[in-house]
Amino acid sequence: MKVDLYDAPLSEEAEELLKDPEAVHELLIRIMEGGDRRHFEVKTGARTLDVTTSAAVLADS
Amino acid sequence: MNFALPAITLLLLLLPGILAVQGFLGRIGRKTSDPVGQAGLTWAGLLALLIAPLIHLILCAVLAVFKAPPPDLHAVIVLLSGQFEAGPGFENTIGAIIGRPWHVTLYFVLASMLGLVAGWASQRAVRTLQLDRTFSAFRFASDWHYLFKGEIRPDLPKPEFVVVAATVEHAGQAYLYVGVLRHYAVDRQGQLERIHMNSVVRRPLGEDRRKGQEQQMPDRSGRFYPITGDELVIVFRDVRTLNVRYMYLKPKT
Repeated sequence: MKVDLYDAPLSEEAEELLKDPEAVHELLIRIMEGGDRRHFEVKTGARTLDVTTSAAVLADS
Repeated sequence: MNFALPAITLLLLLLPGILAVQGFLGRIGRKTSDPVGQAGLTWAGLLALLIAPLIHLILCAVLAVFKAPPPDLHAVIVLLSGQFEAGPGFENTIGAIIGRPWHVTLYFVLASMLGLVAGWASQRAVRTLQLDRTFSAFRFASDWHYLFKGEIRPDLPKPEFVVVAATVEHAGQAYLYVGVLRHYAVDRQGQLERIHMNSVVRRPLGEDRRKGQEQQMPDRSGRFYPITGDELVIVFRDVRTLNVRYMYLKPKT
């Protein structure tokens, strides 16, 4: 049984980012090479997005 | 010819309970085949056995409110008993069924629909109130669902997207695949079969960053290289380790 992970519509930011494979590739490499870093920045189109991991979200809550 | 009427009757009577359990489990809790004891029953079957009478009682109460004729319990017991020798009891049973075929059909259709709707509504309630994330008793037997949806802790908000890093062995060499998880597939036992990813990059696992080596962006070291294609499917039996990260986005202010 195949399960779609995103049953709800994605946010505008996520939609825009995931349509830009180069930006995603760069983000993924940053994440993998970033060690314990929790915050990342990624440029997609004219927009710059703040990307945070769950560790950062939990720490801020 | 033997139509196994008692078995068919029992199945029809249990069907609302079976549908209620299936409606409750939905696409999340597929692992329903754990046997209970030596009877060969499953948890789902056992629950269906308990829930079906409740649904019949509720439907009978609704029928009474609308002053509709109640089900003929005597006929049901005769059918379940399998004692079909000619006699007034059997004749009355046949008469009850043949005389009101639409009533009988409508009753079982209504009972089955009630079971399905009750199961689905129960699942919605459990999911909406996050009872499955708070109490283990309500948790569906689908660990992959909770892991990939970011529902491993009650205080973790729903992620915008999920990044997966998987180590996979090809021709004696281990590779690290990193990508955005889009879909996954589980088998009938709830075990992960495949993961489907987009925008994947990979590198040989042995090519870790050397001590003191700076990571340049965009990656010019050539260690990571993108996988072209719309979707990468990795069969889970080839995966050695799996790392999951939940990601959250907001526009930079």
